[in-house]
Amino acid sequence: MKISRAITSSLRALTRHKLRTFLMMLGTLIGVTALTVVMVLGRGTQDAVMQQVERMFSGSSIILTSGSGMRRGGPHGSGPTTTLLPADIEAIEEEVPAVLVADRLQGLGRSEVAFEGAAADVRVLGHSQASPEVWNRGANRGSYFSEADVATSARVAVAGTTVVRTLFGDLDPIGQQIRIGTVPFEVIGVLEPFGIDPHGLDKDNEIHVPYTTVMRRLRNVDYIAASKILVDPDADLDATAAAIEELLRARHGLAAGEPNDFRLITPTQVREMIASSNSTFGVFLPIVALIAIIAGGAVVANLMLLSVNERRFEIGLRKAVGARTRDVWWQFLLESTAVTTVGGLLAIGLAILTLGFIRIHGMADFVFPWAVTLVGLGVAVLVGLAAGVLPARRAARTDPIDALR
Amino acid sequence: MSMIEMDGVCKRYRKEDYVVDALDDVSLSIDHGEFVAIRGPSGSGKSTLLNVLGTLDRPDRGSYRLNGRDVSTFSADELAALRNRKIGFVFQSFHLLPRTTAIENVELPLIYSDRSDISDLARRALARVGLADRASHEPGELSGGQQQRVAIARALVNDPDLILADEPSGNLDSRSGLEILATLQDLNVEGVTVVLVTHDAELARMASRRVEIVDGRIRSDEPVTDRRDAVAALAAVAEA
Repeated sequence: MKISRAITSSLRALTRHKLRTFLMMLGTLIGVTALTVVMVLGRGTQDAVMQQVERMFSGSSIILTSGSGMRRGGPHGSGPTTTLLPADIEAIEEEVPAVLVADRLQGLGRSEVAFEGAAADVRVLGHSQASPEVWNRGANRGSYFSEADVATSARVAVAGTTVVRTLFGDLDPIGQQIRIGTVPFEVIGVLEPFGIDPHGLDKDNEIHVPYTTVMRRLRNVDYIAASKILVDPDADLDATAAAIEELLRARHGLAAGEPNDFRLITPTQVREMIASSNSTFGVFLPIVALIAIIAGGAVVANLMLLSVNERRFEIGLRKAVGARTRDVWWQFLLESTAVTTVGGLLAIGLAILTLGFIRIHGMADFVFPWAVTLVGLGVAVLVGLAAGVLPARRAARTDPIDALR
Repeated sequence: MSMIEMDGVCKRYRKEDYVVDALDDVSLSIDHGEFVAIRGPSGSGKSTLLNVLGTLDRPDRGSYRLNGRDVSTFSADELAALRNRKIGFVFQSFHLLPRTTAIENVELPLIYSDRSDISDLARRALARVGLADRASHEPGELSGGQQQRVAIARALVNDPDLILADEPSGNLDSRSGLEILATLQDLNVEGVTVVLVTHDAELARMASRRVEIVDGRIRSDEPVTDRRDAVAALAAVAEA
């Protein structure tokens, strides 16, 4: 029998029992929709996070934070680590050859920032003048603060676009006086917009000030919290990290066996961390969706068996008029596969609609990977073939004499 | 050479506690162009004989040659191909696919052949049984007699050597039954070999040769001397 005839014949058989066909399709429809949506969202979130990471580590860089990175319980050691000093960073810049430049970070956390009558709850971050180069994010209006501003702990601020909107509305923010807590600052620039980071923080609801100003005028401390170190792209990152570690341990006078009082994070580590932390979307939800599809396949197999019993005379007749065993096999395999394939195609449509809805309502952003739809469709086809095996075998074994009696 | 040559065919069924000899040493030969009625009471083995003739069932013993070839050596797929090309079946309860148009029902054997002009052939077969204008009707929209004629068209569509009809008028009123017999007689005149299984002595007289079978054995096998013409019988019914 020609394959095109076999397919039309199977499709006709399906249209004869529309309700049953629809019920058979339902499991695949829902399962493949869920699988596609979950996989697209998972991939989308991961892509978004990876993009942010690439941005954070733009070029070749290492993040240095103070503290061991582990919170220790008990009354001791729960306060901030105070051992990372601006001088450490200067030493790194001077003594580790592969290091190009480093930013220094010290923050105030969320603070009340006021302009005339208006106030806003804003994260205040201390950076060095190297920040635009290191983070690839500078001021797109006015200017970022200079080395002299950092040296003199100047009361200058570069505000994110959310802050500008909240405090100034349509007013030109440049040159305006604001207060961070009780300390007056002059706005000298507006930060390039960034958007929402992977943790859901609005990176435009920030104000950058010189880190020295945070240390001296806002917090009265002599240490910094972290640094981002830009490394020569041709240099070996791991070797550079090791050199930095050695230098810092020596400067902090740590004896052999004593744990670091700082932490070095390389892009490789972060990528691995993200990849493993995305297992909910990447593994568990797809497994749940797959189970739904398989359950749908069991329903298809059941209803197909029912259909084989009901259509005994049809099978007997087909055999009497010349259908070979393999023709009968093919007919039922094609019927079950046609059901799940059409279900899978509809599911992809449904998934596209669902994802469109999610995107329009800004719940998540993602690119639509077409490969994912092929996975869903492939699973549907396989489930259909598998679900058709038992019914097809029973049909092929039907004795035409019994069936036609 | 006869078209059908059966020699010493036996077929035995084992029920739970007894054995039925459905066919017991049956020998039968049928030539091209014959119209043979196989008559017998129910349980006489006539349906088993028809199944063996139609290659749906294999004899336990004895040989069956169709067109000179011993079909007992054929594989299941070879038999399927043989039935497809050489044999047309007509059943008592029509066995049309429900919710499927007449023409699609007639096309059914063709989808298992390598013919490419299947809807033309199906249309021609429907025309031969006088139902050209019912091609797109579904069985539910046709009378019993029309349904059986669609089934005959299906049996005809591959231009078989042999049509096997098992009580084709059994589910029909007498008038429709006679119409079916008239159709079979017409086809026989056109050269198609017809084997008709019936328990009805009057219907058996429509054939040119009558084989009586009782308890799996052939009791008599003789030409019909007082043959009835189905068209004439129809006319008689119409007058009455």
